[in-house]
Amino acid sequence: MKLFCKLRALLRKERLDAEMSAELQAHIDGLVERNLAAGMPPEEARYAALRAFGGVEQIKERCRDERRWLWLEELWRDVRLGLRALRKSPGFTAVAVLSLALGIGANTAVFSLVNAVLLQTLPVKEPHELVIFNWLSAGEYVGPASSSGTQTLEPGTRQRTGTSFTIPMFEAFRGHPETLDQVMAFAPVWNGATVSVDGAAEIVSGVQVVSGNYHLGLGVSAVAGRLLEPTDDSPAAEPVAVISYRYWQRRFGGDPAAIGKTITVNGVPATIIGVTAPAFNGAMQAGEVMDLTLPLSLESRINRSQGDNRRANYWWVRIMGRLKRGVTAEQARASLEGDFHANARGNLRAMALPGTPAVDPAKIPLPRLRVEPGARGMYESRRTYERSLRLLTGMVGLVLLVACANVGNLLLARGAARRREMALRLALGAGRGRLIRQLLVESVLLSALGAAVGIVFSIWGVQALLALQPFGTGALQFNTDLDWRVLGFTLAVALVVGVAFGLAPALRATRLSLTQEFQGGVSTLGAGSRSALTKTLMVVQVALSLVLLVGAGLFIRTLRNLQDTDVGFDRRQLLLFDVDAIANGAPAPKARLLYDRLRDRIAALPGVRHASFAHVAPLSDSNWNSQIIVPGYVPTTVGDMHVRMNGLGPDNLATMGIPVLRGRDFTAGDASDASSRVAVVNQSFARKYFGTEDVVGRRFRTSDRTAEPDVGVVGLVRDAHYSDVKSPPMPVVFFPYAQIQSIRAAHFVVRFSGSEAALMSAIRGAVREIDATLPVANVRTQEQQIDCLMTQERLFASLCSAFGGLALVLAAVGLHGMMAYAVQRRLREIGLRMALGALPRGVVWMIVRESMSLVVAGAVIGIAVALGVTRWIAGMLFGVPATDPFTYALVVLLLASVALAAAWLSARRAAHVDPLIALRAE
Amino acid sequence: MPKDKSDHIYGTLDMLILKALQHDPRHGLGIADRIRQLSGEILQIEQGSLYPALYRLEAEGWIAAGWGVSDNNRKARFYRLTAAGRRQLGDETEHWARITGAINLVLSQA
Repeated sequence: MKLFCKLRALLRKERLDAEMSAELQAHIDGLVERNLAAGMPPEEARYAALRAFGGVEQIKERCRDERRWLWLEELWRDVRLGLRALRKSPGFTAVAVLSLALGIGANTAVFSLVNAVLLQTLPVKEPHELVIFNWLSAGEYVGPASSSGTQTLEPGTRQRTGTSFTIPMFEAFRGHPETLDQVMAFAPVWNGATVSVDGAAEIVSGVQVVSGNYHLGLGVSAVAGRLLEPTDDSPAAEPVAVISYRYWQRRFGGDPAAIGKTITVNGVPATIIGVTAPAFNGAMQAGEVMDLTLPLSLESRINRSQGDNRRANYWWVRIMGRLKRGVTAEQARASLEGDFHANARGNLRAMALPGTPAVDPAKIPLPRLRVEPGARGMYESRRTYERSLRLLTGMVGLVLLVACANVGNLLLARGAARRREMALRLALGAGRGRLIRQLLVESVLLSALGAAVGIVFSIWGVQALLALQPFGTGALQFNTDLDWRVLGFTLAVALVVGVAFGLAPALRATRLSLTQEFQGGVSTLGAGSRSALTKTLMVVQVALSLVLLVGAGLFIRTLRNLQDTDVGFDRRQLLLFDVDAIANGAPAPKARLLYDRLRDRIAALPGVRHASFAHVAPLSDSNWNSQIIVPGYVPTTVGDMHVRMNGLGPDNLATMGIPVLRGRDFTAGDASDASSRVAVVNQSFARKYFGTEDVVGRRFRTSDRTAEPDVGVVGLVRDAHYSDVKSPPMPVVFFPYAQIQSIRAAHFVVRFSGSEAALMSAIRGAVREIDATLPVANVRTQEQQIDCLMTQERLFASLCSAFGGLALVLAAVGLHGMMAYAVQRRLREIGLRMALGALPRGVVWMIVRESMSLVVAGAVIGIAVALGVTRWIAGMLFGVPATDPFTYALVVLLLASVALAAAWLSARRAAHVDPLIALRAE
Repeated sequence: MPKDKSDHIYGTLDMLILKALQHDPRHGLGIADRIRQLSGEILQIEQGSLYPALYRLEAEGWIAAGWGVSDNNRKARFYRLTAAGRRQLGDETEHWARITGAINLVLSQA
């Protein structure tokens, strides 16, 4: 209360001054009234009152002094005293500040990331007025008839939900000015687009199409040129494009002449009309930067999409709205739901098992319309990133606890060393509260210094974190600049930490018996109760180190397991790259021809043993998942009817090294004969759908359209991993590339010998020879590709190891310090024991036993905690249970040996005590 | 900072203010009136000392202030005793009794 009052006085000086003037004036008025009542004339009454009251300004000044200086001066004195005390012991200060800086810096770094991913709002006008729409379907197997975009299942109810809507819905939503000022639609161009500037083509990954009012509705400003206007979004309008600041800088060096330049996007010419403000990256998923923004009206030309994108059953645009002032999100939702249902009816699909009667599309239960806050843009990936962030937060939280325990221990030792000083000050009449406050000021000073250094660490730390790709892909860009949230967080952490680790030692240091203190120190025989807190902190440190190290061990084993998994083919000496002739403007037949020619050309390069391409790149976390119908097989779930597919270019199986077990590989004949469709299946497929591996000659079909099973199985291949290493091989069916219907990019695979560097440039040369405008993307080895799948595991393995190792070192240093101090305190006892005939070995054993009992207690607690918390990472582990006894045993062994070494160093000193000197010491 | 008990003027005035607020909240003028009335019109509080003392007591957390309306319908700042203030009043009264008792004892010796 008192503190608050004075703080308030400091913070709200002006208001309090005005209040004071009013109060004094009221007093004078009262006196005047009284004088008037006594019959004085008004002028005289006023004069008399003022005279009675005295100098108003002097009184005010004295009042101010009473409130302000008392507190501030005392604090200032404490700060100066604290700084002087810290300066007097630079070693202690350096170690404590460094520990805290590591703890606080790690937390600030992770919080910067949390801030960038979860908290920052879009840099647009009034972001809190924005809403994003989504739908919630009636069940897992009910959804849009045809769609593009992320769909997820609600945890628990398993209802399907998504953020894609149809164009007619978007247009209906615009007709509600009573609740929404603006309604904007936008959609990403999947996998980006091939953008060619002055004849040089490259693939730009962040490309979106948006409604004409997108920039206006969001309230984004241009740094150069102009942004989109509603008139730009019509089929008759001149094709235009707006670029991001980042792209402007990277591609055009910030040249104003970029405005007005005509570029081609997937072969479609468009004129650059403007550049958005530097901070604006679009409203897509966290970290995604939309480098190129084009009007919706250009979508069909850029995507060369099949069919009319305005049709009523194609759900593909995201819709954001700006709420009218005073309208709630729920009111907006209610006003739109009717239109949404009217447009959804008949445009849904319910997946059903074969044999069950087909559901009439008009009778499918309608989805519900929902509204989410739009201030932070799209949210789906943010929800997936949350898991990583939570884990990171937990981990750095542990690190901070270790740092606190460590510094707490240092402070305890320091408190013990300052007993005389404290006793003297108490004896001279200082209040205990006063001393505690001063010690707390000292610890808060320490944590403030730690925070200052920690902020510097965090700037490096967050870069290091981003370099480790915490969200699995390197293309994301986050704004991790220090802002008021991050600084506020750091300040709060520093304050809490300063008080948390300082309070107990301060209480302990000032709880003294003066008489004992001045009668020649406390009893030096036996360990005093003073060390109970030290021991507790020691146990905590050991326990926390163990938890972090167990995490490190589990992740390291996961990484090792992933690296050692047999993926079904040789992952070495395999080069991957992508080319997309379709995006580059070629029609499909021409693209197929180009891919074949390119393959032939590359296969002939020196050092290349085999070369091919596929519709889906191996182990790249992408899927082609589609329905099949196998005569004689009765699926029990909708999922049973879906299998992974791939389209393979010539010689693909040989390139990958996947052996054909039965039947044959595809031949040139399969490619030229489009009338008889053929397939090769893997073992999982054969066993699941045919119950046997003898499948050559069996038939199935891929859609409801043909009644007859139209695909004949010509071969069986060994199981191999399809999209990732973690999930076991699943049923896959392969088609000849020439027989798959719609094609896009070709994902090349090249089996080579020798070095990949020479091969890479040879491949680029070969592509240039075939088509100079075709960009080569994602050149990487299969091993690098697999590494990309393991970024998370690698991130946590490295962080856990680094932090766990650090915690272990801190704990070892702390243990050594504690035991050394205990030996010092017990010198006389040890001397006495030795004088009475104790052997040095016995003394060593006594000291070691004492420290090992702490380590054992810490290990037991740590194991219990680790068993509890590793449950949360069980889903991220591979091939090792979260309770893996081997990992635990190894960590305990490591911890015990380090602790033993630390304790032995102190114990050795005790064993060398000369009884005579020891007994004389005090 | 430990309270300096030997400071006669401060200590006594603080105690008198706390005493004046013992039963009812009052504004500045009301406190001065109350002390005068309680002392049988002998003690006149200097306004110049009253307000600094009030602000000091507020900062110590012994009294709390808030705006209200006085008997003659004027806006005035009213002070009331807090729980800590009530304890302080008890302490000071006891302390005062001890000191004055001791002084009386000294003075009464022939």
